[in-house]
Amino acid sequence: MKFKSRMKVGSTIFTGTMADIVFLLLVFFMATTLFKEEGGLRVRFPQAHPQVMSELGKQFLTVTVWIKQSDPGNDNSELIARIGDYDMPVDQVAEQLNRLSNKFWREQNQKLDVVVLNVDTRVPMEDIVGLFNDMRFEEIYSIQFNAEDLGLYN
Amino acid sequence: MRIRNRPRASGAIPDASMSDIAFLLLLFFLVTTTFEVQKGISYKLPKKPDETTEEVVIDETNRLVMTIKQWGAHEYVVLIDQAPPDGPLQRARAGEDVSLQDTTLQNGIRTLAAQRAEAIDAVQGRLLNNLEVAKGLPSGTFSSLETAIAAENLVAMIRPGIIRTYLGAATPMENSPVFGEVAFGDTLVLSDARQGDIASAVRESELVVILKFFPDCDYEGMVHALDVLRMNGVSRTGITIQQRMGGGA
Repeated sequence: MKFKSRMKVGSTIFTGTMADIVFLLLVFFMATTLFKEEGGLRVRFPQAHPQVMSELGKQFLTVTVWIKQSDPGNDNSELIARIGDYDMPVDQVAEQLNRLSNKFWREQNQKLDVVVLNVDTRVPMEDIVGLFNDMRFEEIYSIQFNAEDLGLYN
Repeated sequence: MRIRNRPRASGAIPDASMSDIAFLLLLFFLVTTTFEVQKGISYKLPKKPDETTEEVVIDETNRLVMTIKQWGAHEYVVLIDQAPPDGPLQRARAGEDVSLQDTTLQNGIRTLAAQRAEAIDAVQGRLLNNLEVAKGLPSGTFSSLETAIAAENLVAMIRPGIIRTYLGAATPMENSPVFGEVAFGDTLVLSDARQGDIASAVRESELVVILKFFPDCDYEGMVHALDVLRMNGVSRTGITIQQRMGGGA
């Protein structure tokens, strides 16, 4: 007499949807990948120890200001500042930041949290202190000096 | 007689390797994607002076004034103008310039800062104030930190600061009934399970360092100076310009 074998439980994992998942992931990374291209002025960043550097949280509303000398290294050369796509003299930066801050408040009901300063290392301190005073006058107090990691402290 | 069909050319595009290509592309984007994170030194400018501004005179015992000037590319020298009496940097007032990276200078700053580590009550008071601001509550809502933690169901924890690494066993410690042993430079954090960190406050030093830069000293010098001060436990700084002497422009 011939016995029929019992029905076996398959042990394979269904992989039919694998390609769909991969395509979904692919589309996600294609959409979110940002090939870093700085939109500002070409500046040399100062360095700082990673232990003292803070990271800006995503919840913060920030504006980035780029500042460099038109002739880097020459203390008498004019300073150029850029906010977004607009170039301006450095003495107009604080006023422009105040305008932006008011705009954020009007349109998004959000306050400008931090101004990120991307300043070329060779810019004289006299101008930077002047900028700080202008910013205080416009009631913009919170800033971050963007810097690169110096590496491990030795 | 039956006529056989001629073999037809197939119109299908082979798509068996499609998933391989997709995997390759996926791997490429996985490896090359960087989510941009901006890092730097945070700084708060002082409020602008108005009618309500009170002039605060920093006590001589908590004040260190340093003039910084450029000494070639990427090199900066420091001259101590004023140092707290009986402190480690008193001798440096003889008018000698030292490099910003000088070990004796940095040790001196660190010692001065550690000797002036603020009391735990002051840090906890600031933390309570930060919590009320973060929650949008009026000042004085909670009578104490313990009350606030119980009412808001918060978790209190300590995040160790870098100053512990440099001072080791000499790091000033103080006991808190809420946090336990708090070292100088530690950050006190209040968090809840849902939102994460709600408020924080660092146990700072009461030492105030005024940095007077020569007008032509460059921006890199300021970032270096702030970096050195933060590494040595100083968080209260003032930045100003050394006035030009004589008839110069």
